[in-house]
Amino acid sequence: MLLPVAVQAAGTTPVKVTILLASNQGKDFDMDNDDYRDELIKLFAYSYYKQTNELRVELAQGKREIVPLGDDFELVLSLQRQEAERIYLQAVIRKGRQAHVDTVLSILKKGVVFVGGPETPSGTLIVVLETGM
Amino acid sequence: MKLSSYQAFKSAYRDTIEKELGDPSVRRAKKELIDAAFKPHSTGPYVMGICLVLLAFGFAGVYLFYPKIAAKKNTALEPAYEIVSTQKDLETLTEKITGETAQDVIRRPNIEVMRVSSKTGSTIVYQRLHEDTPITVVWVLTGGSVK
Repeated sequence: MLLPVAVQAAGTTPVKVTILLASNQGKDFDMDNDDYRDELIKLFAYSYYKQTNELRVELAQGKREIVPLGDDFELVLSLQRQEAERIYLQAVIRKGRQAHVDTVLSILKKGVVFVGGPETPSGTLIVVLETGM
Repeated sequence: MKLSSYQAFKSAYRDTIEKELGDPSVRRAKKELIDAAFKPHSTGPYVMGICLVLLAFGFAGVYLFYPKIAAKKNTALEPAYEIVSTQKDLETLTEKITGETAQDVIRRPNIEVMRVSSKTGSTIVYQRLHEDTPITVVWVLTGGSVK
């Protein structure tokens, strides 16, 4: 369930998704979510970051949520299970039937994960997943 | 029968030589000369031989056992991505990146990467701390710039 406002449905886990495109064409941070600007500088060698979307996803166990990323890429999130304060989250960045990144994460309470690397005509995709917000 | 003068000379010559060479002092001198001129066999060839034999055994051992040792460390069999699947692995990975101790990591909320794969390239996983939250990066190498 994709919600633009901070409403959490019962029995769901909220995940904040920020979609970025990074490149070396220019020097700028065109981002609304500025929380990780410094980390982006330290982690990656890009000079230009553009935020294309930011949304909150409510994940229900066993259900998939698909988030379009642009340029025919999409992010597939699914909550595999929950144990007390730990969640098991699968995140897949795919284009068509080809999975560019497929990862299963175990996250305790608050966590931040940068998933990315696929190249698009507009730049390199970076998806910031935040849990426990 | 009376010997000819030549035969007598020859016989006298032989007797004289035998007498001279049989003298103990002459024998002693001959022995000393031989010992001085021709030294006894050195141990060098024997030591060299032993070394060659040991070297041969060494090569045989490498030839026989190296494939088994190499198979255990065969990086070609390792997956093309690094999986941080246990808390200990994550702590070690974090310690390498940030220099923090494992104890610091345990006290903070943690993220475990249970599995990572890609159909388009190699993947890497690493982590660094941002304020109180560890940031985990799951990246597929398709030519993007990662520090």
